[in-house]
Amino acid sequence: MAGRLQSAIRLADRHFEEAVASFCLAVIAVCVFLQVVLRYGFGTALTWTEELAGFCMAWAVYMGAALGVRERFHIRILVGVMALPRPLRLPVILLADLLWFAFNGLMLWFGLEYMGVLWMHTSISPALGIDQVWPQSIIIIGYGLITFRLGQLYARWWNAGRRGLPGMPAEFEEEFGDGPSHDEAPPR
Amino acid sequence: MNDITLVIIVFVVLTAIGVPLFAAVGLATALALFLIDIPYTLLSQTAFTSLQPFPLLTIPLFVLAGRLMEVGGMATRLIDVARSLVGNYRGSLGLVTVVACMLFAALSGSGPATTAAIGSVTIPAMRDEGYSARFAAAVAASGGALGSVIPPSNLLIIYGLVSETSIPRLFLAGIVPGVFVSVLLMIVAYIVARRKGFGGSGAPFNGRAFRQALWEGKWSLGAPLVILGGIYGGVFTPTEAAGVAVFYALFIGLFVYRELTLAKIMESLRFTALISGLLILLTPTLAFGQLTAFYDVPSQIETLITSITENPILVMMLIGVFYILIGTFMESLAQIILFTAVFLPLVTHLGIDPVLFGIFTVMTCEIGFLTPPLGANLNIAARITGISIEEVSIGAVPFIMAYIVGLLFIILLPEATLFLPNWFYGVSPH
Repeated sequence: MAGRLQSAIRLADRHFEEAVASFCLAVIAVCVFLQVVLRYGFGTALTWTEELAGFCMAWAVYMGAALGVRERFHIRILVGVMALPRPLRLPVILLADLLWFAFNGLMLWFGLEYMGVLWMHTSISPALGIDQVWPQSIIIIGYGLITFRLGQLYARWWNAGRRGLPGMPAEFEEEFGDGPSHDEAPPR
Repeated sequence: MNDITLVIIVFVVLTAIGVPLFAAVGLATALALFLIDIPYTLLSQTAFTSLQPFPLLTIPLFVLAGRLMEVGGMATRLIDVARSLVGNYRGSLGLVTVVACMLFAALSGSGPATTAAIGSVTIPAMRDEGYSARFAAAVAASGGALGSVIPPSNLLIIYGLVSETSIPRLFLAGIVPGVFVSVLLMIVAYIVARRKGFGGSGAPFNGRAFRQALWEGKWSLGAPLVILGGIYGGVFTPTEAAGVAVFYALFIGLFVYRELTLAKIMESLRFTALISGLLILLTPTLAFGQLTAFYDVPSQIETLITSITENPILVMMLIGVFYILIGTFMESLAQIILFTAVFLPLVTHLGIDPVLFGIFTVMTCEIGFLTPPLGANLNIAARITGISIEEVSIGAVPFIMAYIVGLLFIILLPEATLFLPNWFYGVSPH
């Protein structure tokens, strides 16, 4: 039993964000395609496809962003850091990531406050008729996951002997020559 | 020091020390909200609402469609078409690469994706025929950059969204400059290959082989017809076209070419998820944009630049130089999201069409794809070829010249770019 739970956790750890994001993207594609098919094939229109696709977009973006933390895919400018002498790079990156943590914390705080407002003044989405709290909770979930993945990245870096720069794109790792080999980042 | 200067300095410092851009913009915005005492919920509101506009869906859909077409066998068919069209003579594979990139660009919205799709086939082919690694990588990288100006284009969609410009108009405006630069790239590729003596000789253009490749590739060539024909025939919006493109790619890949597998589809979705994640940058930027408008930053920039010159051509050149410099170390997506709001009010005051400025912006981004240290296309081409980014970037210099000529073409002959959209939709009313 425990083994099964453990492997389920491992599976979720590895694929959770991409599974949710992929599902949302598939829903977006179907919604948009359905609009065209219904308009030309059946002369009708659905009112809820646009709204559902919009919700899924927000979810896909935040899940993709959390996935991007692990894949070191986020847009950050590293020319300045790499121009520094080697001993200075690590502290600067640590500072940058600390500020990133701080921003996530701010967003979680602002997001919770905002959720509170939405909770008090119930707002119902016009087409699907659901409480806006649920789709918009992705702000909390998204920033929560981003923070968690960033923490995980650091934990792994720490456990692996603190070599190289944590959270650096693969191409910068080569300069250090000792980073763990990662899957090739796909082209943007 | 006034508030906004402080905010901008904080943003620049955060960016320079390597804080991810969305967090840097977000922190600067939070600081600004604190300074002028506006509720912080503005940030959490835009965190959701900025991802709601329907046209934004176009981007993941085109990314997904492009990826499915790439892994589903469409790219190889297009290369066959280009190969039989160009024929086989000295330097011809360079031309084949450019033509194939041009064709693939018409069904993909991304420059780096075009480099990956076409380069992964033509670079090894060029190496086999004795082309230098530097040349092979450079021609694939620079041909691939066409993906962002020849419609459909993800960067043009982003520009259209942040500048509130019509996306179909932008797409039409991209055609002439895109073809113009393609021709220049072919000329450069031909001259370089000729001088270095790359490639085989013999088999010139063969009408029958060409017709056959055309027939074999009909489903791949049909994709741009469906996408662009659908948009301009008024059948569907660009977003819907992207949705149709996804299912078209699925259908062809699964049932006609039979090269798509479930694993490839899952990988394509995962890839699309990663790219979509980058759009998180839009969320704090929208809040930041409202604040810069509040502080009247665009008009301050305008005063600053017009104090140097009021000549629209010179102003465009100044912005062009700035964009090219920024593009050496900043992602194109970020460049467009961050700077369009700053410069667009200025250039529209000087009488420049926002559509033209969009094409101009994207053309500078393409140069950004080709300039180190951060050049997405260089990166991919280098990886395929197995040489360093620096090496590719040296090979890319003559091709960058072609893009700079293209940029001047847009600035000096705006009518050539605007002719198509204005003819199709009428002159825009601003």
